[in-house]
Amino acid sequence: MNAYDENELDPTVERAIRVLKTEPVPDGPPPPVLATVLAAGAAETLNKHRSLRERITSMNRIAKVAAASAAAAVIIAASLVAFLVWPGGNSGGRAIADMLKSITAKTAKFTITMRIEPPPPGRPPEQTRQMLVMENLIRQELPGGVYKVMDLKSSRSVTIIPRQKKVLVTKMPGLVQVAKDQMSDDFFGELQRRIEELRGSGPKDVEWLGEKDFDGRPARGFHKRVEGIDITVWADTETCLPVLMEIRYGGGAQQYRVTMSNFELDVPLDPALFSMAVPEGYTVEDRSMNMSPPTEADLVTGLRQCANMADGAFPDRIDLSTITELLKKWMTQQSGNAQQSPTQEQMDTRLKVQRVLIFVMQLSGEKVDWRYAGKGVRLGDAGTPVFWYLPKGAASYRMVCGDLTVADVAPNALPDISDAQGPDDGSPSQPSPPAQAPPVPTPPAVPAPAPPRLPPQSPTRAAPPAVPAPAR
Amino acid sequence: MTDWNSIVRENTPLVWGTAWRLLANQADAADCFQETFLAALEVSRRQAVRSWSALLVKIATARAVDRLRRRLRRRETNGEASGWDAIRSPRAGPVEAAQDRELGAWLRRVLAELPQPEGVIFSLRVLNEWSYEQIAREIGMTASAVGVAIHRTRARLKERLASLITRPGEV
Repeated sequence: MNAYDENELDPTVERAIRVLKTEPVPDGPPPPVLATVLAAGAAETLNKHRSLRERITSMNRIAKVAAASAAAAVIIAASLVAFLVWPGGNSGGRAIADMLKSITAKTAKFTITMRIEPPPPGRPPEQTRQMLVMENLIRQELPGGVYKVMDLKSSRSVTIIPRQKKVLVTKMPGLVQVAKDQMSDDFFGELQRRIEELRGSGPKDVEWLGEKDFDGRPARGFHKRVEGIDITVWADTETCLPVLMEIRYGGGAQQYRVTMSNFELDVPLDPALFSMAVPEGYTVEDRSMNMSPPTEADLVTGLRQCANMADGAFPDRIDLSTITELLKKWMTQQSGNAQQSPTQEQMDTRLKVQRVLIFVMQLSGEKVDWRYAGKGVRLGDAGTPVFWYLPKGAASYRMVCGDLTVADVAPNALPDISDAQGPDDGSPSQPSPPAQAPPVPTPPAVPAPAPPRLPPQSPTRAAPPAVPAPAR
Repeated sequence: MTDWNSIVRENTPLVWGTAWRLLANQADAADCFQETFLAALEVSRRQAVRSWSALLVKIATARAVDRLRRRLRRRETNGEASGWDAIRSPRAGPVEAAQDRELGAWLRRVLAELPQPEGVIFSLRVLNEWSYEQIAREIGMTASAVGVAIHRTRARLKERLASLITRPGEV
């Protein structure tokens, strides 16, 4: 032992250490545990890549359910992306990152069903899609023989529309960078971290739902709120494969429920299903979609677009539900049908809005402090704070005002707006309260005047005193 | 080709002993044992393993300390007794033996409360008798930083012990 610490040894501490060192160790480990450990390495060479199912199977019993749940969670992320990208929509950076992590290690096949409650007029109450995932490729099967294949590594997707003999080729610049930044080769390590996170999160974050039977097979369930979205997972207690997963979030007058079932992991899939070749005789329509991580400039551009879509009013919140509703109404106004395939211009406009949400999700993911107080503020309201955040490593907050100027603000000069949305209230995808008002298909031509929004201690919402000249 | 069977067989007593000393619980030690080998197996897929025994002891210690911490958190969350009362031996017996059991339980609890990686460093030092240099190499720190961490841990232990002694009848 080194001299400089042993001299300080307290006799009682020394005795405690001696107790631990000399305490008799019973025989062990139990033979089944040893057998599992031996089998884990003997089943294959040490360098061979194992499938997710094999990895889960090789874990101890406690870890199994958690691992299955973690695997389920990444598939949920993938499914959420699937939901966001249909029909022709876009996906969030973090969700994509999760999906990338999941699909680098396995193939998957599952059914995804979306229900809108109550269903919008003229639309079926639910829509079901088949999803196939193979490494970096995702195939989504749509009604009418339409299918979409997305290659996350080449940042490209093709949508084959047989009835129109048309192929939509969408380039997604920036996606490769997202993949490079977020994709983990160490899938098992990632899984371990997720398990640890799940295990360590405690009863405050994870609600265990006990066991129940699905078609005569016992499954164990849990509920967790991730980024404000309610996720329920049921995993088979024996195989640890997910049996049923459900994502729920509310938006204004409607509630959305996405259910995933019929899971098959590590199934052999025909590579031809993921072909991105243009069939002979088909016309090609090129599109593009910026998938690079959004910046502050994207936030400002997107906020302007949000306000423009709502006659100059900023959205009440920046969350999945609010943004989905905003875009749906806007698309309905644009084309009379929110489900119609959008034009490139419409896609660009929509992406600008979605990138605000992605930017905010990015901040939450990086544990960056942020607040949104756009409710009741109109585009052009100079000096009225709308959004502020503390960039990583910065001493001052960046604040966007109603006229979309951006300034540095000292932490002690931040506005005190009690109902500002922030990372602690389940945002950015915090479901709104259950629907109480009837569905409104289109916004009124002239919105009602915004209610006055006054901070508790101030008669007017003025910019904080320390705001310097706008930076941009 | 690495012989996994030999690695497991040769290191089983070492890993089991490391896990048991820190956890003193059959189920927890078994889980820790299994996690340790599986984690080491994964490490071997990513990089060459210089010393299997060193890798396994490091992982086992880290996992065991982590388990101790979770056990502590669970007790606190569930409102179970987590102080001296919780570790007092319920069995009557020779005073010396009872004190030893309580001291062992006290040290485990303190290790669980230490900020990471101090608990792991201290365990590797005092329970496995690793040198500063060896700990530094395996943990990825400098030897002097290891020394500082151990020095700090000893100070904490003394403090904790002093506060216990001031409570009559507890030590």
